[in-house]
Amino acid sequence: MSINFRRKIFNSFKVRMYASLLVPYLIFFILLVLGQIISPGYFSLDHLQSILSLAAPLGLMVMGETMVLILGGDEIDISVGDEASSAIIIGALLLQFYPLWLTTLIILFQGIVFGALNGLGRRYLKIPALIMTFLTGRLLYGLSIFVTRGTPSGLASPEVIKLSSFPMSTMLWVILSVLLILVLAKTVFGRILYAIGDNPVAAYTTGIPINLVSIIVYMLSGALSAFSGLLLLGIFMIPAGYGVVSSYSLQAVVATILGGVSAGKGSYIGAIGGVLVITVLNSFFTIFNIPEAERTLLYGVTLATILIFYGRREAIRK
Amino acid sequence: MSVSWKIENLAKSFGPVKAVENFTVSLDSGKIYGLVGGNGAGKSTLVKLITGVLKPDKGRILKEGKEIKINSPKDARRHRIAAAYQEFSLVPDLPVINNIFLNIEPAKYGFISISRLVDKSTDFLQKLEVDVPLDKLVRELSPTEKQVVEILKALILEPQLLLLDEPTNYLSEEQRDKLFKIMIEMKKNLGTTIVFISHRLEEVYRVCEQAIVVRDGRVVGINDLTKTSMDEIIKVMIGEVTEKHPKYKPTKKSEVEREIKTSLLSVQHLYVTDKVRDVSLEVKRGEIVGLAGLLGQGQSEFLRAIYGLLPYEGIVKVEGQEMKFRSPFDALKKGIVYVSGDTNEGVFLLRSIKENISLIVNLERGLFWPVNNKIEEKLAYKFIDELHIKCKDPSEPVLFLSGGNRQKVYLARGFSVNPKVLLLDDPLKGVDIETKKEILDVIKENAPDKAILFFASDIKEMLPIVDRVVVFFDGRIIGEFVGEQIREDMILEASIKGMNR
Amino acid sequence: MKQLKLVEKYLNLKDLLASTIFMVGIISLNIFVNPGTLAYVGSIVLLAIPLAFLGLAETLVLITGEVDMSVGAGMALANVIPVYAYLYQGIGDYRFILLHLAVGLAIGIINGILVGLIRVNSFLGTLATSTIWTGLALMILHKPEGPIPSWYYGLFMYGFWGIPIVIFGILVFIALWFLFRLNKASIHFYASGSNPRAAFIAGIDVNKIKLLAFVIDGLLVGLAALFITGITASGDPNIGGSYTLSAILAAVMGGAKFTGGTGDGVATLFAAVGLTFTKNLIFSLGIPFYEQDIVNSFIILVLLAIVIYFKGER
Repeated sequence: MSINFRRKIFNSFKVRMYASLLVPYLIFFILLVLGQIISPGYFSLDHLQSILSLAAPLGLMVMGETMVLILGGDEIDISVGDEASSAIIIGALLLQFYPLWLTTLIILFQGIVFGALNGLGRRYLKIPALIMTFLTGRLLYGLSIFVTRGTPSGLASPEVIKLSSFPMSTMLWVILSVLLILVLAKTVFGRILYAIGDNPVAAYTTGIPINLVSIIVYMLSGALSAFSGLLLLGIFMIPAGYGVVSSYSLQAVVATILGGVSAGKGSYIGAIGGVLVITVLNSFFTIFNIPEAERTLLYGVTLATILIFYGRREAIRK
Repeated sequence: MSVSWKIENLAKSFGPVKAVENFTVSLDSGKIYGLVGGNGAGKSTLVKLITGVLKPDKGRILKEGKEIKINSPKDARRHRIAAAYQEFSLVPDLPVINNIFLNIEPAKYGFISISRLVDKSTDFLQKLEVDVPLDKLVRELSPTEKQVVEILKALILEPQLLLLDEPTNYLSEEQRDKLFKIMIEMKKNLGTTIVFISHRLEEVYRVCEQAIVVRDGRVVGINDLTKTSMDEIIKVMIGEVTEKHPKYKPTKKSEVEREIKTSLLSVQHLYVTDKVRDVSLEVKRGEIVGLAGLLGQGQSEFLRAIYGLLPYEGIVKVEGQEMKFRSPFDALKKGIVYVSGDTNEGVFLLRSIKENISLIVNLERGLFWPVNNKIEEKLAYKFIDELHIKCKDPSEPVLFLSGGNRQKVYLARGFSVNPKVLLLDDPLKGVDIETKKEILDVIKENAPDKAILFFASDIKEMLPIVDRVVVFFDGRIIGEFVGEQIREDMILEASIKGMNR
Repeated sequence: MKQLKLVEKYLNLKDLLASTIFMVGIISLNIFVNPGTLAYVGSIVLLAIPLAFLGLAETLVLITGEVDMSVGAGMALANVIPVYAYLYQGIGDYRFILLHLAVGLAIGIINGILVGLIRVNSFLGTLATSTIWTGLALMILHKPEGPIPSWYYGLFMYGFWGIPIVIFGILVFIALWFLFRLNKASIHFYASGSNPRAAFIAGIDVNKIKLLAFVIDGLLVGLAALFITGITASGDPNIGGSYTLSAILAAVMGGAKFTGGTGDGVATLFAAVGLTFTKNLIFSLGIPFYEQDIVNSFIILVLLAIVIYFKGER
């Protein structure tokens, strides 16, 4: 192929790459306009602020999910919702006795430990990520029940509530986002993540410590999701909503894929767009009183559609 | 049942590489043809084209003068074409008997008749006077047993055209004799047309009547074996050898440092699965040792085992210290770098050129270290310059580069860390001639303080720069050429003959 | 001689032995902890039947090298639709049974097209369809509702022509498994999962095989739903719950691997029974209600780890 011909094809490749970053934001904007039309006041500054605060916890979960999905097509973390749910319950309990900083540390520890469990199970026991993280999620659920003997107690402390509302949560999210984007783009670690996702065989042959990196990624995902639980505690104010938050796992995956993230490519910038879209969709569901059933259905259809475009197998002839 | 075949103008390319080109040959019934050719000649590709595993770009296949369409293995089966492949096509989790009768199970209304299956197979084995454990799972078999099953799989179809790609590699002498006996019976009694591929010319002479000599994907000779000597065949295989090999013109720096000659890499009695059998080699600092021989004689496995990609038995010493690398990660830490000719396992297409080149350098700096853009660019430009990598800008993804340039990026990474030992596994495969020369220059310039092992399937590539050449055959080193002895025709002859004169 | 040894391969003795030991061990443990269990062993085994069929469905799919994350949700949908049809559309005759199977078939066809024809990655794809099935099930019935046609309930209380339904279930299971195993299609299934390239060279259409696997999977899900309907005597959109994971575990304990090419039905059946008794054991041990789930999940994790680790060794 001549160089020019190749350039033409690849320029469209670049266009596609940037387009996939913009698409979620475009959808977000359209939804906002739609919202304004249907329910005036939607586009107000006030409401936008509350959307941002609501989006922050999901945003943190998606940070972890982004790293996991970049790592490879087999990798996925659906324990993020349970990490958060468990953190809500344990956090509320701990806040009764301990200051916020200590509670945060313990919650982060929970996230790291179960994240490491995910990584170890996936890499050393070779249990598929979907199953491993699902199991860890169930274990977290069990843990939270165990610790509270079935009845959650405690409340969000005033500091936590402040942390989880505008502008604190948004600032927090922004800072962490910037950090993640820098790490992914500018550090060796980020480079390695993309490399492993792009070509796991080459990664191994080049001497990249795939196991170590994977475990770190799952640990980070766990920590971030657990921390997001504290934010959610501030939003809910009481330790409740376990079922709802568990379902965040699926939403996190959809948001990440919507943001154009997949094995070896994508960026958290796009994923942020995905988070905003999902958050707005959720609020639509609340406004229109769409029951959980239809929501689940919608998410399933969305995921299936995205997969048809992004997730196909190769032909055997190769 | 005599059927004649004709292959007309068959052609198949993989990207820029023309594996098979203008391939035309007539095959009569009841004859055994030997398909011979050096590395990259296109033999295995041809087999896959005829059996429908690959689709040809051009050309047609005629059976009894009529064109037949072979778009898939199913079509090939229908036309009574069968093959035993070099890389076995067996199902490891099924018993031998199911592998042999795969997709031709005797069944009534879809239900397998176990008794008929057993009867048929025992009859078949008895007829051939072959014995295999029918009930053992293929994954539990030795390579020899697997080879036998692979051949049986083809024979059970009672094909009119039978292709055997290196069927004797794992067979004992007895088994080989039996195979030849069966082949002769088939051609005499059934009129089967057989195409036999083997790198051992004595075998071809034993059982074939005619030799089809292939070079660079085309037929360069059809010789009656009763009238042609082995040396003549070898000459046809090798083709014209230009006497002049551009002797490398040393630049100033590399002339100097060749004084220090300590043993940098020492390999003793290496065994790698079945592909490397007791190979020992010493490489001194500053030496470039070329690994020659036909493809698949163990050269790749040898290099990959040293690098930690394959398990092995034997001793590997670097700078006098014994090491055992369990993974590339370990090998890299000790200064061993491996580059192969397969960019699929070396290059990250979506990442930029400079990222690819600096990957190992970055790894050595530490996981959470920020990437220094300036250093990356400097490194990238250095190699873009030295290796003449054709690109607009080092921030472009490697995907934008042509195959040869991608290979250059892969190599650049290998050089970027100034390794102690550089293992090159056919790195110039699929690269165009100017690029080859550029790369060879860089290799030679980088040689002085390293030990370099260089396997090239095309001998011409290594001749200008090597100090020594060892020839691999059936997993062993059967010859060594030093200094003046390094001549293409002599090395090729040794590679094909399997022995040093 | 040769024939016997071949039959041995058809029975997958090693895996069968392992799961038999597991099953017998757990049942014994149950009886040891609570001797009263002996009296109602039958009903616990009945409880295992839906899991067994789901495990069988999973086994078939795993054999071809794919996975189905939607078996639990599919069973819920195949349970909810007929019950809805009975309660709100008055369909309570033989069509009640057919509906279970029809829904299962539809589920199988959709999954099959997604994975076999469109070639979407099977575990993400069936994860997506599982949420679709769950969503649909919740839309049709918001909460568990009953009753079911009395004649159907009667089958489960009194048996089918005098045979207790649990025996019937086991017989159907074994019959279906051997029907599959003796059919030449099963060889093609194993080949497609174990070495798709070799299967292709032999002329087998691997994608069509995977499509077929999912379709049969769907029918088995419908069959599982038939039993769930009878056992719970209701339609429950959330019944799927942890069934998917347990089904996969049962299949893996029965010899299936995620890389494909292996799997055995009878061993899966025993594993399913063993797993059901494990749940019962946790209950009998008097572990507080809220801790049961964590213990169960933990056990599943440990079992999965052990099985995968040992399978990996070969």
